[in-house]
Formats: sequence, structure tokens, C-alpha cells
Amino acid sequence: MRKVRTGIFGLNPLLDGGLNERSTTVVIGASGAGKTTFATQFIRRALLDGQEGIFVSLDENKEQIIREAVEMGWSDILDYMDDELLVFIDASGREFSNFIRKELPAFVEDWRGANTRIAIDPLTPVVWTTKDAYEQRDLIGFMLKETRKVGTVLATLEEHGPGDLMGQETVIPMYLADCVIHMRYKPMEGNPSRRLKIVKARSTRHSDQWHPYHIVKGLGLIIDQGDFRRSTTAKIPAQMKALLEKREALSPQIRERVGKALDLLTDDDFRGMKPEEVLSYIIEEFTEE
Amino acid sequence: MPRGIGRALETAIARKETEAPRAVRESLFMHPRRRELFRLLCLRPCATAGELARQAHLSANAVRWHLEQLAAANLVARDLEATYHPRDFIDPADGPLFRVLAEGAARDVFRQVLEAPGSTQREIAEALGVSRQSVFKSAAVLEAHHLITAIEDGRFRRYYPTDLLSRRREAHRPRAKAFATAFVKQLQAGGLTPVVLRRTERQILVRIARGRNAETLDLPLDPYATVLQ
Repeated sequence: MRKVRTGIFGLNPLLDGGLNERSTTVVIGASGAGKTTFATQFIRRALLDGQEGIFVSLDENKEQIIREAVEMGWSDILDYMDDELLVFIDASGREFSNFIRKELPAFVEDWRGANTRIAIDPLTPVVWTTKDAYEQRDLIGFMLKETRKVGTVLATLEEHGPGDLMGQETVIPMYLADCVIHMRYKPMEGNPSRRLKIVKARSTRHSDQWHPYHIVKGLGLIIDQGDFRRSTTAKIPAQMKALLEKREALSPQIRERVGKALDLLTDDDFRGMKPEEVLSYIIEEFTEE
Repeated sequence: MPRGIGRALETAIARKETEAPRAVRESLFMHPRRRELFRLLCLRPCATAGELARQAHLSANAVRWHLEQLAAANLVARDLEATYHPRDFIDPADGPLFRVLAEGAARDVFRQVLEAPGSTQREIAEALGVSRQSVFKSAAVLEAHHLITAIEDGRFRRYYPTDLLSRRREAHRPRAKAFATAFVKQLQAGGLTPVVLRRTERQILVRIARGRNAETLDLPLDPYATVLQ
């Protein structure tokens, strides 16, 4: 799967190189966490590469987002807008959900194969166009499935309540998205620091730690990788392969299966488990009684 | 892959907005003054009631009354400055632009700058036969709205038009198309059996009939050009 750079400084290594091309990502956070900055930075990264970007603002505050981007030091987005490489769309949640229901498939058909970046900020009003949980799931699932056909999609979600990702408006999109990033910001607490965690990222070896991040004028979001270093060495799999060779009473079939599985692993995947134990579990699984 | 997916998405979302046609009350457009006012609003959105009254040869109060009728039928929208424009016809953010250009003196100055880019205040004043003071005032307003820009040339200030209006005009095209389509649907929903006589990017000519009476509505669709007329 091809990776696209997120544009967020320090984030790509935590996602094993970036977001998967034509995937859907949901960024969840409380007010002030920096979701809109995240989305703008994500879109701007595509523009710098000559790709097209679309920013759908469902808060109907297009001017404010543009103003804030300019204040952040990203006034080049005005030029991109003039060239129509970047298009800002103001819509209400209802308009957008009507569009999803009635026009999206035809639109995707027209533009299939396009490779753009789309940000939807915030997705929450779309979720709230219906109270019915089944309909919410249907609507959001359909939207994510279709839009990714024309590009890499990022939607933000407002997090209300205690910040434990349990609210219904966050749970449904979380299940349906390919990648979920939780931005934590509690301004009312003694230490209002910002932290971020990758909750899930399909087909990606991603960090599972909390990472502090900062919003810096001129740059945008910067993520502190801390002691996170993705190890790409494969000493343990090699060790296991050697162990596998030594085992004599194994059918060639099992030998092949286990060998294939080991090819994909790095040391990092073992997370403290002992190689001999893992090997015995795998062999046990494939050995017939 | 062709470019322009963003603009296409914007148009597709905007189209939804007006898809469920609101019925136009049958009698609404059978009134000649009201037709004329609606046409004038398409020609110069956000013109003041006074300006519209002058052009339609009506009293300002009559204009306001007709506008309220059109607003009640959801055909025109009233903005915060208490001026009106056909609903879904212009980008509401362009209201100030139209209000500036609806004003005679500023429009004259802008036209003069378009005609002779690089003119000084004195040259504009002489060409228009007005005082330099009045040119100075209008130019300041036009400059504040980024319609013209001034360049210092020794002791002269030379004015040049910006491309703002032509850019906005370009951006207006898909909107005008959607507006015309939705408008015909609205007439249909109102039982006015509209027949489109002519439809171009700049104009739509619709014949409407009610009983034995038939009238023709002539709507200009290019306000970013017609506001200068």
C-alpha cells in the first residue's frame, strides 16, 4: 500500500511512513485540541506536491479557517485557492448528508481515479442529521467507502464529554474509518498539555503510545516522538527461523507456513514475548493431533 | 486525470440545496412591476430600494412592498444591510461588492479605471466631469474593496483595476446555471407551465402562463458584468 505524508511534523514515523493512500482517517478531539489545524496542514501538504485539495467546512466558517491558516503563516493557501488547486466548500450538515445520500455515487463515478485530499471538518453535524444509530452508521460508512475512491480522506470529530472516546458520535465513525487519531486536550485541568495517540491504523504498524504535541506558529502541529523508535531489525524472526530449522519432526507444509509468517515480522512485533514460546504456539496451531 | 474535482464537488453540493423546488405562487410573476423588479435584482443584486425605485419608476415604498412579497415566496433574500438579492443567485459574501458598484459615483469611477487603466485622479475627474474630491472618495471605497489598486508614480497616484471582479464572475458560472435550473423548477411547481424560450450563460427567457394570460420573464444571469451597466 502506498503511503502519503501527513504534513504533520513527526507523525509519519508513528504511522510507519504516513497514511495509506485512499484511506479514511478520523481525528477526534475536544475543542481547542487543534483538529482544524491538523486538517488544514494535511491538505496543505498535498498542495505543496501539486495535488488537489478539498476542504469541506461544515461549521460554515470558511473565512475564519482561511484567516487562521494565514495567521499560522500559510498564506500560500490563498494562491492555491486562486488556482483552484484548493477549494473550500461551506455546507451545512444537512446539505452534505443529502449530497451523500443522493449525489455521491454519481460524483464518485465521474471522478474515479482522481487522487486528491479531502478534509471534512467537522464530521459531527453530518452524524447528527439523524438520531437513529443504524442510519448514522449507514450514512457515515457509505460516505467513507465512496469518498476514498477519489482520494485520501480525513474527517475531524468533536469530542464532547469526558474524553474517553465512548460517545456515540465518536464510536460509529471510529469503527468505520481506517485510521483513528485521538487528540487529547483538557484546558480545564491543572496541566493543560496536548497529547495524541493513534488508536488504530489498518494495515499499518503504528505507535501505541501517547505523544505530546505542540502547535507552533509558522509550522503548525509538531509531534514529540518521545522514546518511540520503530525498530525495523529482524533479529528475533531470524532466531526463530534458526530454531525452526533445528526442529526435525515437522512436516514441510508447516515449515513453509511458519517460515512465511516469520518473513513479515520485525523485532518490534514480539513486544517482550519469548521467541521460543511464540514459535511453539504457531507450530501447535498447525500441528494435527 | 482532469483537474477541477473541488469545484465540481462544490457545485454538486450546492445543487442539492435547491433541488426540492419551492412552489411559486401563481400570481406572483403575473404582476408586471414585480417581474421588472426581479429582473432588476438579477441585473444588480443588492441595489438599494431607492436605486431600484428610480429604475422601475416606482415609489421606494412600493418597491419595498414588492420585495417583501418576493421574499415571502423565498425568491429573494434580505441581507443584513437591508438590501435584497435573488436567493441562491450570488455568493452572499459578494454583497458588499455589489453594494459598492450599485452606487452611481463609484461605478462610474470603476468603469473609467477599467477603460483607462493607470488614470490619475485628475484624469478620471476630467473624463467624468466631476470634482477630484468626489473621485478621491469613490476611489478610496473601491480600493478598500480590492476592486482597484493604486500605484504611486512620482507625485501621481495611478489607479489600476484588479482581477477581483472577473475572478468572481468566473466563479459565478456554475451557480448561475444551478439558479436558472432551480428557478424553472420553482415555476413548474407553482403550476405556471414555464417554457424556456432561450437559455444562455448570460440570460434565461421563460414564458409563463396562467389561464389565458401569458407573460415573458427575462432574467439576466451575469450580475458581475451587468452591475457595471
